[in-house]
Amino acid sequence: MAGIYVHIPFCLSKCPYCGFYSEGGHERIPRSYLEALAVDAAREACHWNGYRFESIYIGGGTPSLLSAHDLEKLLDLLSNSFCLNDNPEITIEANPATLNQVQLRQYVKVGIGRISVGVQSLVSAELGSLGRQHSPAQAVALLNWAREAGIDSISADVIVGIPDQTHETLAWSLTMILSRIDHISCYMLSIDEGTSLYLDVRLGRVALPSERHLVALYRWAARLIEDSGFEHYEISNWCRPGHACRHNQNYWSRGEYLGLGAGAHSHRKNRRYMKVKDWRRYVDSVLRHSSPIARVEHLSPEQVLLEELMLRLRTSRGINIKWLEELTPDGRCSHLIDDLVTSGLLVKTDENISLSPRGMLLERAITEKLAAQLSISQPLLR
Amino acid sequence: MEGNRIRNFCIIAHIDHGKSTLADRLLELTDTIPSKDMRDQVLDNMPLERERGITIKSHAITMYYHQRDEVFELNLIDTPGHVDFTYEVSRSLAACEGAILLVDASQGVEAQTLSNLYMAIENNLEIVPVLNKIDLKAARIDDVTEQMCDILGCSPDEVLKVSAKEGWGVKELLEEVVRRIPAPDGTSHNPLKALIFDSTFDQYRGAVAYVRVFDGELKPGMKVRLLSTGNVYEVMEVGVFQLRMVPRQTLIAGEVGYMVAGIKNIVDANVGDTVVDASDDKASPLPGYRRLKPMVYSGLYPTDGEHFEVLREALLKLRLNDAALTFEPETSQALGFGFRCGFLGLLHMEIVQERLEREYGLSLIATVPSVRYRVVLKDGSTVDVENPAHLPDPLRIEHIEEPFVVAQIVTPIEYIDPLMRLVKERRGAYRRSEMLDSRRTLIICDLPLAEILVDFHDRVKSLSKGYASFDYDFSGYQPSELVKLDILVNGDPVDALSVIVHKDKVHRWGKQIAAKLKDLIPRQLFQVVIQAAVGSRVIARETISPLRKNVTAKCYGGDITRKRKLLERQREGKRRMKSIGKVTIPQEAFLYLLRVER
Repeated sequence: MAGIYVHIPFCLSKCPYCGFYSEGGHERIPRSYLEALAVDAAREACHWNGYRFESIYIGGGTPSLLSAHDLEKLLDLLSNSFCLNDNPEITIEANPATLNQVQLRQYVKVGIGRISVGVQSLVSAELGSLGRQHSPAQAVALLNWAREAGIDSISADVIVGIPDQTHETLAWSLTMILSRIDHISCYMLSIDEGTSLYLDVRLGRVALPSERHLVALYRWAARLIEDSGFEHYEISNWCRPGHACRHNQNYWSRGEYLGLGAGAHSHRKNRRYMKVKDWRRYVDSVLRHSSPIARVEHLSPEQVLLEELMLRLRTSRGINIKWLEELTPDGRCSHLIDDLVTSGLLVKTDENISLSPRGMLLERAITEKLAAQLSISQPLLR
Repeated sequence: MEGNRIRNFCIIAHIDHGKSTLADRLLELTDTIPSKDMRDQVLDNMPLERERGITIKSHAITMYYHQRDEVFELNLIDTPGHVDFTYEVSRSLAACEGAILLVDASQGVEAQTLSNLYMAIENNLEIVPVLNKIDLKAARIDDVTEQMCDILGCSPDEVLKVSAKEGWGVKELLEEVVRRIPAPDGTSHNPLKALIFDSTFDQYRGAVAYVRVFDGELKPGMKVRLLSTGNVYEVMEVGVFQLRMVPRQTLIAGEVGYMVAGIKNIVDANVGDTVVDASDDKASPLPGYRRLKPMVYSGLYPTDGEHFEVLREALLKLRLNDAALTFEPETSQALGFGFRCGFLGLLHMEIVQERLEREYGLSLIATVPSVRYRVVLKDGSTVDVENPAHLPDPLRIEHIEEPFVVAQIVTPIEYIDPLMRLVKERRGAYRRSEMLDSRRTLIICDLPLAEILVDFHDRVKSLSKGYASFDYDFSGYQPSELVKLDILVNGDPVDALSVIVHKDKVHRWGKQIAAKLKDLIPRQLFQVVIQAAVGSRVIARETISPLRKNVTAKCYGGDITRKRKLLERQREGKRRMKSIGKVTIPQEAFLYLLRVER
């Protein structure tokens, strides 16, 4: 399967923890950017001839800054330029501070079937320390409106590990949210280098929870989510039956996808490429008919294997044991797998292995260990 | 050149006392090297020598000095100064009739100078005392002259004063060399007797022996025999050293030069060996020959197991030019396949490692250097142990003996106390001391070789703010109360981390190593227990708690590349680690033990 990702790198203000490419200080999307997206799409179309796309994902930034009219034009453009599935999953990310009920209804009318709301928390103080512009009430209202508007699938982002977050505040946020949604992405606050939160932490202005507390909170949150009827299908994602995000699942199964917009990533035929990050330069090069591609990577067979391993291990389905064992003929891998199963970090299911709940928190270390066993010949010194 | 016009001499000096500069000046003054080829430290041609300012191989150079109407052949033999190469030094001295004792006027006599000086005196060399760097503001000309007179029993007038840097007094020095150093006394009519004082390897011509002819004549076409091996060779070429080797018709009694004789391996051209006429059955060897024996051992392992063959080839190549290097394959559970290498001393070890890494692009892990222990078993037999992991079962051991050295420390008197404390810490025993002058003392003491292997010299320097110097001679084996300390990781012994230590020190060592390993081994998926044990008795224990969280939470937006690159880097790192059971140990853990405070 294949998907289309559209990046909208504009926000009202930049959140201090956000590591994605976006620019604050925008209340609407610059016209030139929308024009550039159209040209980019038209030029990509010939390379993606013969592909049938099953999902469109409009992410950001804050794509809910798009007016319903602009969104309609964008979706029309995509369905005219590309061959879409009969019933594509069309997702937009939404910030509760930027979307009202009327606009939401129009979104549904132009084709949006899935919405991913950046709720993060329903405690004012916590939203404050994350630098979010919306109030808890706005977030709850948006979730309610989405249901009323007839959105098929409602998802919420929740963050665990916010400074001063406790079991009680987390429980409050989660219970309020879970009854209103079909899908949840719940992650531990990660401190990306280059964000302003990173600086605050390094300078001691913000105290993060201890690792022990963070892990306890997260595992407790996972249990709460699962007790409410959600299924854990990827390290940070849970869904009610039938509500898994098809677009993201495509990433985790090494599927192909087209990325449109500044800083967007694409993957086609073991070739990964990224568009220019700075949106002004992106617009410039697209409108001047030069290539907006900043970086291209041709994957070696070894890199393909590593990606398979690291991506599939994120999902609850996991990896086929035979596939792994064929790559390590001397049996090293089987020993390691047995060890990890005995230590309760991996679970064996039929033909697959997958991370246990405890193992999911150690995903990187376990992937590294398995990757080190893959027998791929080493270049010799001379 | 007639024998009475030949002078063979060397320069005895401490590092940085100006030996190379003086040599450069002598070469200039005798027009030996055209000025376009002249550069600093011209005799030290190995990059490592030039960089470190030390001499590793012996060199020789022939100069022609015109004094009034006469021409003299001056052969300067440049010797390594470091204690690791004591034997080579002694052979080079044996090739000379005289020595310039070069002392820095601002520093005074150092321990290393003393031991080489005593060796020269033992070889009956005529000593020409020279005070260098008299141009320096800090020069203590009178003090140091007095010091030299005390040591040599000479009068102050006999001490020449020069500045090699400025060229002051160098011409006078050359005249004194000719006047004071005796001409060689052999004759060319006697049967051939020549000393090999060093050798080098040439890939086209085989071993090139550096020789000093004592009696007779050495020329191409003649058949010669080397007394230590009994092997006979035909001489293909002889010659003298100028900046390069210059062939000659013959080398006569008294001369210094080189010989090419189809000797395939450098180990067959042993330093100290005697060259005689092949037909001369009654020839007796020149005194002082000794087979080179390694004093220090260390396991060398390639960081990347696949480079074992590269390491083997590199060692073979180095050995072509370094007869003192020994190695044999060994296996370690922790480090895989490698070689147990024997070295003359720590400097030699460092040099070999550095050359392997620099000239052959290898990345190496070296185990803690060890001496050769002599283990006396209950059944009366003895075994030599160079690798602590190979120590026999303690129940079979009667006692263990370790090599000792006699150390000479020269120090300003104010540092005597801290230095004596250091000697005591290192299980040393004081023998005696002598005042060298009003400010400096020579301390003589016995020390186990194992205790000076790591950082002793650095400690001597730091305790004395750099003023004390240190040198040693091997003195023999003595019984000691030694035990083997094992390091266990999750119950598995790590053979490469085993050490043999004195029983009084084993607790401190064990605790230190365990604590440091706790810092160096990263947290893993499960708990890691580090133990230090003597036999079955655990003397130190540390625990590394397991990882709780190590996850990339978000993987969206299609940026797979960044995450994969991180994985590729981590995986490469993992491969460079060594696995003990399930535990991966980074290389730094092994490297650290080389620097552990004892």
